[in-house]
Amino acid sequence: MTDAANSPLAIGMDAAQADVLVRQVQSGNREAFRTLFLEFERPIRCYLSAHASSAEMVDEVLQATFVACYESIGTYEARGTFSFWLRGIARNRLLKELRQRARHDHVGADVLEATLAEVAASHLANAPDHHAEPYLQRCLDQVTPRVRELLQRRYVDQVAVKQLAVELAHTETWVSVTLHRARAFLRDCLQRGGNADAAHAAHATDAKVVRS
Amino acid sequence: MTPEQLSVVVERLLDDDLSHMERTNLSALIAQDADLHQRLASELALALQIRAVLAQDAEQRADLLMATLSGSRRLALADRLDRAIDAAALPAAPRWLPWTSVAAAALLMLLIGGWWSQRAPTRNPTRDVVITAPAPQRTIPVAVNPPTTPVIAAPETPLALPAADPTPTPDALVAQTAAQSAGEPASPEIATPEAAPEKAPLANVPLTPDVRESAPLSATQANSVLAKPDLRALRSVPPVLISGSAQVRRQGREAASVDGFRLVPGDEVRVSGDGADLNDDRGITWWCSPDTRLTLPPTRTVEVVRQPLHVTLGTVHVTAAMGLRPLITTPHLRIDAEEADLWLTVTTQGTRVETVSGSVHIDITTASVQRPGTTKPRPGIKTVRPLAPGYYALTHPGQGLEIHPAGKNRLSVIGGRFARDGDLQIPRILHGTSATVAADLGGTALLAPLADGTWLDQAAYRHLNALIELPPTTPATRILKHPALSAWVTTNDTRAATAMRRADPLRPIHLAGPAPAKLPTWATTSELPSDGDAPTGRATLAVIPVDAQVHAHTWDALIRGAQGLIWTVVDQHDPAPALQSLTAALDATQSLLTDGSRAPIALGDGIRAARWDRPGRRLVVVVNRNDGERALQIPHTSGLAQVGADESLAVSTTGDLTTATLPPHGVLILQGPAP
Repeated sequence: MTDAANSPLAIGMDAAQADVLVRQVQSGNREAFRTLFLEFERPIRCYLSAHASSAEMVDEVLQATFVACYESIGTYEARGTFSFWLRGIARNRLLKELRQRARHDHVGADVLEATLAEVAASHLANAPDHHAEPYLQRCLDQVTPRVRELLQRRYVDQVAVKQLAVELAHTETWVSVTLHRARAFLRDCLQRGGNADAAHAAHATDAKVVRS
Repeated sequence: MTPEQLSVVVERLLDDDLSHMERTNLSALIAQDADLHQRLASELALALQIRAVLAQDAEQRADLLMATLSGSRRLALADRLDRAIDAAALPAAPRWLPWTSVAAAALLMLLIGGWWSQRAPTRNPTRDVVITAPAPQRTIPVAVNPPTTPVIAAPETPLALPAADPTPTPDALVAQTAAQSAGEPASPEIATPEAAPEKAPLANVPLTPDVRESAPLSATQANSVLAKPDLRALRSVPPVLISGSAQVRRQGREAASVDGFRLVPGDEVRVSGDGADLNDDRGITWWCSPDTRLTLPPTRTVEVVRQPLHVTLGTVHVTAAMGLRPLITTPHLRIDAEEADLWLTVTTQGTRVETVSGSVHIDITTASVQRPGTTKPRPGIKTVRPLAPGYYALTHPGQGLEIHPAGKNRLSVIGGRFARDGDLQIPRILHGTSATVAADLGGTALLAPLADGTWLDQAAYRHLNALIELPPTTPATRILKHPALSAWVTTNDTRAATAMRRADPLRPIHLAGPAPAKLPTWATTSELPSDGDAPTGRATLAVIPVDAQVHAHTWDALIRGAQGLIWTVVDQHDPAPALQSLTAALDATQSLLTDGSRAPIALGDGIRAARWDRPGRRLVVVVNRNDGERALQIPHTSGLAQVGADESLAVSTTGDLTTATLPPHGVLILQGPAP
C-alpha cells in the first residue's frame, strides 16, 4: 500500500514522493516541510471536518497535527506510509480534543458542545476510513456558480446568515433553507460517488439557485 | 424538527448565534432524539467539509505553521530556555576553575581514593565519581563533588574523615559552602549526577597513584549537593530565588541555600538564622522569618476554553496562564489599534513555551473585519485568528499607566479592564508599588462569558493575590503560590463570580463586597467590615476609593487587619498622584505589615493605632479619624523613626514616648528597631 491510489488521503503526491520530502525534512530542510503541508493540508482538513464538532476545532487540530508531525518526523520510517502516519496523528489529536471538550464542557455551561463533542468522539473512535474529499470536490464542481459562491461566502468567508440575507435581499430563513438544499444536493451526489443525479438535484435543490 | 427548522438551527449554530438557553434546550433535544442528533451532526460535518474543500488559504496557513515552528519550543526558544536555566544560580551547576585548583583538588581526591580503595568492601553505597589527573585544558572533564573539610589533615586517621558520611549535617554543608566561597581549593568542579559514570572501575585504582600520570581514580563522596532539578520543572515556574539562611530539602537530600538559590516545585524550605528573602523575577521580595517553612507546589494545568481578548493598546504580550494549544490559528483577538505586535506565551503540562516576537504580526492598517457574525466592518479593527484559546494573563512590560479620559487606552492590556457599568475600576495592590510600577509588574486578566452575549473582563494583580494568600500569623507553614495567580477578586455579583468560576474552576474566588444572601460554597467573602477589626482566620481585603482621604482610609484598614487592598478608581480619576506617597510608605513598611504580628493600641476616641512587631523590628501607625486636630502621646516608640517625614505633624520623641499632633485624617508612621 504505497501508491497514491491506496493512500487514505488520496492526494496528488504519491507515497514515494512524500517519502522523499520527509527525508529532506529529516535532514533539516524546513522548506520541504512546507511543501508537505501544502500537499497534505486539504485532505487532512477534510478528514478532520468530517468528525470535528466545530470549524475552529478543525483549525486547531489541523495545526496541532502538523506541529506534532514536525516534532516527531524524525521517528517516521520512510516506507511509503506517510499519509497513514499523518492521518493517525490527526485522528489521535482530534480524539483527544473531542474528549477534552466533552469532559470540560460538561463541567462548564456549554452542554451542547459537550454533547456534540462526546458523540463525535465516540463516532470517530469507531469510524471506518472515509475519504470524501475527492468526491466532494467533484460534486462541488457540478453546482452552479451562484450556489458555489453562496457556499464560499457562507462556509469559507464565514459571512453570517444575517449578512448574507441583506446582501441577497432575502430572509434569513431563505438563506438557511437554500444552504440546506445545497447540502442535500451535495450529500446525494456524494452517495452516488460524485455523480449528481439530475432528477434528484432538481428536486432537492432550489432550482432558481442551483441550476440558474 | 422540520428540515427548514433544522436548516436554521444549523446555520445559527455555525454562527454561534444560539443563546445559552437555546443551546441547553437543543442539547436536551438531541439527547432524546438520536435521529435528530445524527442529522444535525451530518449537516455540520458536511458544512465543515465544504469549507475544507473550498478554502484557498493553504499558503497562509503554511506561513503560520512555519512561523509557529520557527518560534516554538523545538527551535530557538528551547535552546534559550535551556541556556537560561543552566545559567541560573544552581549549586549543582558545573564551574570551571583554574587548573591549579583542579590539581589541588585532585590531589585531595587521590588521598581519599587511596584510603577508600583499601576499604572498598565496607564502604557505604554512595555515589561514585571519576576524577582524572589535572590538565590545563578546560575541555578535560575534571570533576568531583566538593570534599568535606578535614580531608587533608588526617589520611592516617581515616575514621575521622567526614567524606564517609553519606548524610552530612547542614552545618557541615554551610561550612563547606563558606569554604568554597572563600576561595579554598577544595572544589575543582562539581560534577552533576548525569556526568558521572554509574560504576567506576574500582579494581583499576592504584593504591598510590601518581598525579602526573593522569590515572583515572575512583572516589566516593557523600551527597553534599542537591539533585539537579528537572528542566521541565524549572520551565514550569517563573524563577523564585531564596537568599539568606535556609535549608532546602529536595528529593531526600538537604543542603543550605546559597544566595540566589532557585527553588523548584517540590522543594521544602526551612528558614533559619536571621531569616531569608524570597525574590521573584520581577524583583519583588518577601521576607521570611526564622522557622518559616515553605513549599513550592507543583503547577496545575487547567483545560482551556476559547474566549475573546479585547486589546486596546499597541504592543501586547499575551501569556496563556494555563493550557496550551501549540498553534496560533484560533480566534479570537480583536485589536483596536493602528498596529500591534504579538508575542504568544503559552503553558502546557508544566512547560512554558513562547513564540518569538514578530511571529504573529498584525498590520491593522491593511486589515478589515473578518469575524463572522459581526455587524458592519469598521476600519482599523481586525479579528485576528492566530491565537490559541485559553486563559490569558496580559502584561504590558515597560508601559506606564495611562488612563485616557474617554476610556481609550485603558487597562485592557495592562491588567484587563476592570469596569462595571461603564465605571473604570483599577485594582491596586498593597505591596507598595506605584501605579506606574504596577503596570510594569504585569497583571493577570480573565475574560469569561456572562451567558447573555456580554463578557466579564476581570483583572487582578498577581501580587495582590499572593499577598492575601499569606496567613496573618507568622511563623507558620506556608504554601507559596506566588507567582502563579492564586485567586480572583470580584464584587458580590454572583453572576460575575459564577462566570469566573466557570472559566477558572480551580481557583478560589474572593468576593470583595458584601456577601450575597446565599454565598456559593466555592467563594469566600473577604470584605473588611466598615468598622471594627477584620475577622480572624482568613485573609481580608479592603476596598478603598482613591480620594482625598485615601491615606487615612488605607492605613485605617491596615490597622484593622486588612491583608490586601484594592484601590478603586472611579470614572476618570488618575490614581497616580494620590497614591505616589502612599505606595512609597507601604513599600517601606511592607515586610512588617505582611509578616509582623499586629496589636492594636488604644489612644482615645477617633484615633486608630496599631503596632506590628517581628524579631528586632517594630512599626507603629496612628490615624486620626476625627474632624479636628489631636495631640497624642504614643508609648513604646523609643528608637523609631518617622516614615515619610511630614513637618506638619510636629513629632518629637522623648525616651519611650513619642508626642505628635495629628491633623484631621492625618497619619503617623513610625518604624525602626524594636525598643
